[in-house]
Amino acid sequence: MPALPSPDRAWWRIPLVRELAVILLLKLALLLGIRAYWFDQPVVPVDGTERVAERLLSRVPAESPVSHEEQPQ
Amino acid sequence: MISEAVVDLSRLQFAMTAMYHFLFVPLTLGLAFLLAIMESVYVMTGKQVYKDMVKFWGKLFGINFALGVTTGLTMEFQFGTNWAYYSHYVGDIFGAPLAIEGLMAFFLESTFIGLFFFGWDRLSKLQHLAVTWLVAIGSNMSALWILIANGWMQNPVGAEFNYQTMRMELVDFGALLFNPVAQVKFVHTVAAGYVTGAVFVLAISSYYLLKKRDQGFARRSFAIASAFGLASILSVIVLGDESGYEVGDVQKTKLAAIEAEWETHPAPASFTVIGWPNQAEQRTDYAIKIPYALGIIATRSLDKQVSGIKDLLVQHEARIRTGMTAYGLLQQLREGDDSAATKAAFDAVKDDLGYGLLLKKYTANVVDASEAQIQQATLDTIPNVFSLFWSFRVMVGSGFLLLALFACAFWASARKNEERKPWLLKWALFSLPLPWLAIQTGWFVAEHGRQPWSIAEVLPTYLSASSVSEGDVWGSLLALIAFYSVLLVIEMYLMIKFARLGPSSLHTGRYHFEQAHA
Repeated sequence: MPALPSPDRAWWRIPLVRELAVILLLKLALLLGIRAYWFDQPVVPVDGTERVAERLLSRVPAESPVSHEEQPQ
Repeated sequence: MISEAVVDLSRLQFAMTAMYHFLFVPLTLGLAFLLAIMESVYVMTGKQVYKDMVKFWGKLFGINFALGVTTGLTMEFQFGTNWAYYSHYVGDIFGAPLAIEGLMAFFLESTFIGLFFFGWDRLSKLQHLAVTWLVAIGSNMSALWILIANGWMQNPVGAEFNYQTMRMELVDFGALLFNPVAQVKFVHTVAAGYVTGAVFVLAISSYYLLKKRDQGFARRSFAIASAFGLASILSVIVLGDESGYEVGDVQKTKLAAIEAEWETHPAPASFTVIGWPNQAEQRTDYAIKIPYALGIIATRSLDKQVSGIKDLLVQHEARIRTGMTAYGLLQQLREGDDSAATKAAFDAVKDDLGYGLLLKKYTANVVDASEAQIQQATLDTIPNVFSLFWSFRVMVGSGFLLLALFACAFWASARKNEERKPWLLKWALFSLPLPWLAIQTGWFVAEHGRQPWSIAEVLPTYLSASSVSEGDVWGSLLALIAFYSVLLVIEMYLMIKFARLGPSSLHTGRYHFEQAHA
């Protein structure tokens, strides 16, 4: 049976609370880092609407399989 | 033209990853609730054996959970890599539940799973019990959002096509959330997961009882699994019936294909128990039927008809012709003719645009499609009847076999004589693959039954795949097969190792192998 914290003990002095807080802060920092590095602006495909319109509505049958492939930045 | 090989390979890759992922998901859903029940009993009785049960079955749960997460991630990436046009066309709607699943359910589940494993000595009994229940609830919430996304693919409600952005846009989040297809899919799927967890515990407990070791531990596990399993399999059957009703209401083609209903018979339609569907001749050979059953299951009435495939083909041909008109009007709108008359004309027929798009497989310019092409596209609207007919029956048959197993196991457990019934223990042990067989065939029915659509009656699968080369898809497919094979070997090795060790793996000194070596 784990020892229960005494009523006069402040919650931030409980080891489990401190550990959870550190883990959550690390998670938050990681997420903010990922957001800042990869998702700093909305990821909108180049000419996405036009490319979908071309695929669905084009009257020209030929389509090269890789003609629209984006180059990695 | 679009490469059919790329479309087929992309479908194969997604099917492979989804079916592989769903080897792990149902066990996670079921074991999480079984752990919560076992720990509740521990907290109520204070008996150490129940705590050992939570720790041992929790260890197997942990192995399974890790593999489930790993295999689920690749599926979400494929929407971008292999299904770019799908993602653009419906990403506004489909992306929302997936994002909520990640932010809400998966965060809840992953945060508390750490506390579940490492919190035994740091939390009070009640705190740990709350954590275990939160893991179970989190895993079910995760399933809810995924099935809301999948339910929308089967029954796309709450969204409108916008010709300016060339995509579907969400207009009613409530309709998406309370989509009846999604709701019945959710309860049916999670209940199937509970059955999987129960069969898993029942089969391994039966193995210990057959080997006559760790009998107190195994008997209690057997009792909880048999009671939980019986309640769950009854839920699966009742909710599966409800799912059949929803399919009959909104996915008439899928229902007709599952039942190989070629003609629209007078109500109430009979149910074909078994038969040999012949799609080329549009008939079912050697059919054995139960009068009235299909009409009652699918329509909940004695006077409503179940549409047959031949009638549905007539309806689909008419919708393809209307779709051609919608397609022509969309071309006009995109070319700048956005007059009120054109907009009104398009709005009147845009619900059939998807049917017009089916012709893209045969002609670049849909409005000029020939009669032969229209007939070919019409035939495409019916999925493969033979595979759906038999997959559905394998699923249902497996379900009823499991019902019989759980009824016998529960009866024996209640009379405390399961150890004296080796036939029952062997039956339970060899039934271990059955829930996976039922679940995989069930998903095959749901997804293959939606073909030729990626979004039912909105977007054909053929137009959804990315513009990538065949070599790219072969590369990723082979890499995933290799990676998943390694994961499967690791999973099987760990599961078999710990299942054979049993509760001795807890190193408490109370169980078989430790006492044998003491």
